[in-house]
Amino acid sequence: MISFRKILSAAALFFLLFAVEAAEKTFTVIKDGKTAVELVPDENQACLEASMIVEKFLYKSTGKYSEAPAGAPQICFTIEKGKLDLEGFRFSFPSANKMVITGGGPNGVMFGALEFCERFIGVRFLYPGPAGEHVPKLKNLNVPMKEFSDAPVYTTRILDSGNRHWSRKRYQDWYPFLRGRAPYRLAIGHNLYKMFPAAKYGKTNPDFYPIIDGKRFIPAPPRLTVHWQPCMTNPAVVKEAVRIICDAFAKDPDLRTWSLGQTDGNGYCECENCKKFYPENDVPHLFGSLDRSLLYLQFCNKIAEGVTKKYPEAKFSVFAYNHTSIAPKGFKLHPSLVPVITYDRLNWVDPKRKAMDMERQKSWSDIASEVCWWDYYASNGYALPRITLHHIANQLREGYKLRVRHAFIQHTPLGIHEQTWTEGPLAYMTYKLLWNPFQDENKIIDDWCRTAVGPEAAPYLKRYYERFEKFWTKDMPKGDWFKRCARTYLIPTWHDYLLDLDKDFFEECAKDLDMVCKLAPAGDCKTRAEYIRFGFRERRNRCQFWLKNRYARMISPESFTKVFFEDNFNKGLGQWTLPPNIKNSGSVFITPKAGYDGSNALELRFLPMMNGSVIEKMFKITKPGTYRIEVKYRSVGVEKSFVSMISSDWCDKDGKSLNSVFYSDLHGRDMSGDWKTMAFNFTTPDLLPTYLKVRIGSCWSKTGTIFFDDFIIKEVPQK
Amino acid sequence: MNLKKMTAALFIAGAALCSAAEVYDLSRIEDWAKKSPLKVHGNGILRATGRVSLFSAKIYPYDAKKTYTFKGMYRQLPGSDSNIFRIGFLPLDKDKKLIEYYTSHPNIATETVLVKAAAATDNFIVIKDGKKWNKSGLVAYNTKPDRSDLPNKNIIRQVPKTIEQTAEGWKITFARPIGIAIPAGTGIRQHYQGGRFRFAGNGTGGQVLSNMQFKMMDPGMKYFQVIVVSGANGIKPGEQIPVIEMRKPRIEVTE
Repeated sequence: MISFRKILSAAALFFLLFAVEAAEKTFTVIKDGKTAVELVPDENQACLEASMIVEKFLYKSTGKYSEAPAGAPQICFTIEKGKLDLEGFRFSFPSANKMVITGGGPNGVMFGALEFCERFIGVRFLYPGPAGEHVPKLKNLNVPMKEFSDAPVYTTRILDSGNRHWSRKRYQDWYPFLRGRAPYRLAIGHNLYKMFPAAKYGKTNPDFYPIIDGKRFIPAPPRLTVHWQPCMTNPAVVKEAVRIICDAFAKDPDLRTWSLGQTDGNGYCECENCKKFYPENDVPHLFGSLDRSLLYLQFCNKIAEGVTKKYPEAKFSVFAYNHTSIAPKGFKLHPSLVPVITYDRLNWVDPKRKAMDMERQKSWSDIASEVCWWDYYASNGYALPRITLHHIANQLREGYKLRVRHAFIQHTPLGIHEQTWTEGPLAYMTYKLLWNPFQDENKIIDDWCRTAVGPEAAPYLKRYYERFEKFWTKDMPKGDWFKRCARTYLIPTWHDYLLDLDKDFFEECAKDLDMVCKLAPAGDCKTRAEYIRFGFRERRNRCQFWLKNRYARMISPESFTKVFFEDNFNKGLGQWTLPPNIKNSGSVFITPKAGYDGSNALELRFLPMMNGSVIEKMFKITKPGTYRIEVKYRSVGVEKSFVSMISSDWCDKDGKSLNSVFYSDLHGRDMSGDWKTMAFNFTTPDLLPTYLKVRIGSCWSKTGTIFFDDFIIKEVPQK
Repeated sequence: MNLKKMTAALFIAGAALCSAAEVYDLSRIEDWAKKSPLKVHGNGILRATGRVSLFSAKIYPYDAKKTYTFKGMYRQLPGSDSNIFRIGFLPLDKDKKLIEYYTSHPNIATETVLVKAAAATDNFIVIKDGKKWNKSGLVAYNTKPDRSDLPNKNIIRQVPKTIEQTAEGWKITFARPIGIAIPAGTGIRQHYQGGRFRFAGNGTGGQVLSNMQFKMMDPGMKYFQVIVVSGANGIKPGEQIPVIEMRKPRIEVTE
């Protein structure tokens, strides 16, 4: 007779075998270099777009577009609202011939498709641009038939890049692949001034606007969009806000979030009703501003109450900064309100600053169910890339514990004068950790480096990025720059943090990157390695140029005794020309008897249809030196906003700016009608010969004219 | 069924009929011009390869009071990502003739009158107000300020060469004689120039176009013919030949 134990063992063995078989079951996607599946999206745009992502990377991976034969296994794309997070997704295998990618919403199905590409095909979106895209060439691809689902931890993930502009397009096209894709779950930004524009309500509803210094303030330039808040105790303002928001929600069924971000600056109403919400002891709070949190939040609460009666799922952001930095103790915040705490969290490298921020953070975490962080990377402002990978990773993990579920980061890594990606895995890793902060950042960084430059070169690349982190988190905080920048955000354009660099910093970095370039295998990895080194050299030159210029700026005007070039415009425009993209020369004149000494002057006349004009001249510079540009100017009949300008930019022989050095400019705004002088000193970059492009220009007026005379470039004589 | 129930059923059916949008189906090969390179790829999926302009087989009536929406989904297959595809129509008048862009797109800021009679041999005209005139617009005459003249086929098919203010008025000079005598006091304005097709949507690789509306189109438009253009950029070296795909293409007409 078979014993019970034997039966049990046999059953266990059977189940084990079954489990092994199930675990090994795979779903064939690519076979012999051809796509072996049919992609079947539901009939909606998001599903079709999601299927197109998979289709595109299958195409890139196999190198050709091929379609599976009729009756082939299918990958279906569908949306199942309600059961999954809006941006979450699930992979399931209902039968041997069918895989289903289900999204909780349009973004969810899209992120499912991206996960498929990354997890199974091995695609990586390392940095913006085609060279940053890694697509392994596959002959065969078998996907394990294991159900899998995922959803983001931070539900709003924005590494902001500024508005749409050609210089940022490459980045803006890239981050949706890192799941930083609109529509965002929380609308964030200054918005009250947009909701109550003076042009609309100024005459009909002056009571919407604040009493400041005893008078009703109707917003007007230059304070049209800053330094005023609506009267926050006027019920009519609340009613109108509720109407505006409900109307917008009714028009767009997908819109259920709204920013109640106050207008930037001060300008809180001082009427008797509003004053009741001022603190009894009205002294500056921890961060140095007068506390208006209670006034602001009772106003936001009322709006939230009004809107959520009709739209209970609505979510609003409220700013926790400046006058509303600290949450009022014991305040009952409406559950739909999400405070947005603004701080540059690189400040956390200083325990005191971190403790202060934590005090603020705790005040909000105590009263809000969810919190949003507004952070500042301000990347294109820094000459030295601000790469702090582990610091960010720790911070995001800590954020989760503090109920932070939304992140808005002022990033802006690319701009007109910054087109090279120099931050390595910073944005990539940040996006990955915003999705799930409990991932090991080391694995993400290792994977990024290995994929970018190959396994042998990767350790050197990683070490290169660690040097930057060490500087920003260990060396920089000891310097004066960090002390001077004790404020909401560190100031990227005060470059004196560069004075805190070790003298051999750049040399060590260069050695690492030389090794990276040497060890990176030929092909994409080598291309990327050289691109990274190119970016480093640009930034190194820029930093060194700043350090050199720092001394140039201190040199007294009297030291510049040698004339390099001068022009009093008495012989006409000479070789001054219009920039190549400007055709209209109608506002540039050489005007007799208008000059400083009664001779000719250059006249840039404002015309109603033009916003100013500019002329330029190129100078070839072959020897290193220190220079000073001076020009006299006089404005006549211009509008208050006018600007006269002189700039210098280092270029190649075709006039294309070299990003490795600083662009310098100086603005003159004197309206007295007297002659004034604009001047600045600068030094030559390391790479010579090069070209100095000088521009003289005017802008921001529709009337009047600016005369220029006695343009001169002088240099300090070489010893 | 009692009378009450029957009335309710009729009412519901009637309401459903009233609210149902009219649909111009474009999802079959026969809905497109005979020589089109379209092929059926699946249920309601049509594809065409190469640089193509696809015209609908039928001409559809157009009512300016209604809204027309391109439904279904339109996209390019991968491989020609930078190429452009466009979805639109040809606007036709009551005689099913093409309405040229320049007959129906006035620059309303330029509306004025001729202050001096112009002879056919003149290469200039003198108008009352030329402040807003420019050197890129064509010139329409016999215009009416309420724009009831549109589409206006009375066009001097030249752009101004010079625009200058004189004692008599604004003198607009052309490169050649204007070719028509126009009496003083005639309404005159500039019209914008543009192509023959009106596009409701433009897309590139990786993009899906859907729900593209058009309404209040060219004045005088009574009919239209659908056009889909693929590979509009030409085909770049190394790029795959573009393939346009339409999934259940149709136009929905709503009040």
